[in-house]
Amino acid sequence: MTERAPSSPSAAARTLGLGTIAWAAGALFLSLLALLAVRVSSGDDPALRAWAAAHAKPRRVLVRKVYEKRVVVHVPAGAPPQSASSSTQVGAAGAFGSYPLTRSS
Amino acid sequence: MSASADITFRSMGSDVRLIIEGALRPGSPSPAQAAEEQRRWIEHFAARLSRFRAESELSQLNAMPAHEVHASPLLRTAVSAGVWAAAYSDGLVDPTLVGALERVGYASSHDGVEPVPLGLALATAPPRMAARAHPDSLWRTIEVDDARGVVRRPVGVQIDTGGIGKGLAADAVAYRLRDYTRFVVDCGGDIAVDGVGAQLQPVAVAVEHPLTGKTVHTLHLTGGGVATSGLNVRIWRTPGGGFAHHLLDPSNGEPVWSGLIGATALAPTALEAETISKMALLSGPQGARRALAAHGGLIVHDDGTVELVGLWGAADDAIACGVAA
Repeated sequence: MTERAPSSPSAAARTLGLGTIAWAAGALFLSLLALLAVRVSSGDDPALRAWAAAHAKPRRVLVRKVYEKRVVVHVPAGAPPQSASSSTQVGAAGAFGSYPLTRSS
Repeated sequence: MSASADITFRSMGSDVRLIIEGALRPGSPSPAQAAEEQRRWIEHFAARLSRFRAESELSQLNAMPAHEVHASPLLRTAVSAGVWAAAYSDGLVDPTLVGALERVGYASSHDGVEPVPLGLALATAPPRMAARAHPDSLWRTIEVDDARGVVRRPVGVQIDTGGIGKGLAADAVAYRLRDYTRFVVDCGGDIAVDGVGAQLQPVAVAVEHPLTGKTVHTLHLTGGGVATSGLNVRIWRTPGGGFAHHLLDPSNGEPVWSGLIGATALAPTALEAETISKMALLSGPQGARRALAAHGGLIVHDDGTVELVGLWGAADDAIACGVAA
């Protein structure tokens, strides 16, 4: 029985020739280099694309906060009516009707 | 519940004003209710300690012909305050001048009596002289025995709480209001300020000029006391055509004309402020500067000139942080 000898790269290389392989690799490299040069010259640099995405200018967003202050004064039921002659005042916190006065008495 | 209360009423021969802001603890009476409660307490205080009311506990003590007299805690505290003020002032603020006060015409309350113009009295007043303590220092004979609940003094020595009582009342009410955020207790110009809110928002207190009635200075108190003594309110004509007022020289029992007509003092408490202000007015300009130096204050000279003393400097407004300006 006759067996076929297994094929090997060295055998293929011997078939195509080393010069042919070197020529094909160089041609492929030059064609890819040319393609990349065209893209970079047109402003489409793939290496810069990721950096530009990371440093893109943020959009300005205007946030408005609205504060509403309400002062609620509860006058107790039965409190004397306030009038010019009354000496009693009920007012909101922090608002004295007039300054306390220190004087001789 | 109201946010704050501001009431004014007459007591102790003066206007009393209470300003009370919100309670610190839930469940406390509202400021309006607290003000009404303290009003009743002050009126009770005044009724018990007035020398113008024969039925008062103080009048009964003064009338008692005994060396040792049982006294309530309130009366013992008031007497102690009078003795403390005398000791503090080396006898200038003397609580034992009741007889002299009555001799010069202050035997009954002058509440509601129009004072005579101070300028007129100054024009005819004797040469200016600082007051001095009485050499006998009768106030030293007064003993307060809290353990036995008695006051001891020689029979005939009468005690007047006077202005000291107003300072004491202001401090006592301030203590009773300690659960409120910010409050002012003004007992006839003896003022106590306290509450955590006063630290954040100091209370402005105006100082009145004794001649013009205008505000001469504004203090901003974060706490403590301020008081003013002056000649312009309790001043009257004597039967002999002269003038008298209620601030007496302990050494001779006569109204003092020291060269000052008003003195305002800051202090940790209203009682101390009242004592210092009276001491300053009695001492004349030089003594007043010494008396007011520690906590600050102002004096008003006979000619109406206002002089700031102590830490206040010459600013129109001063911040009084606690007791220091």
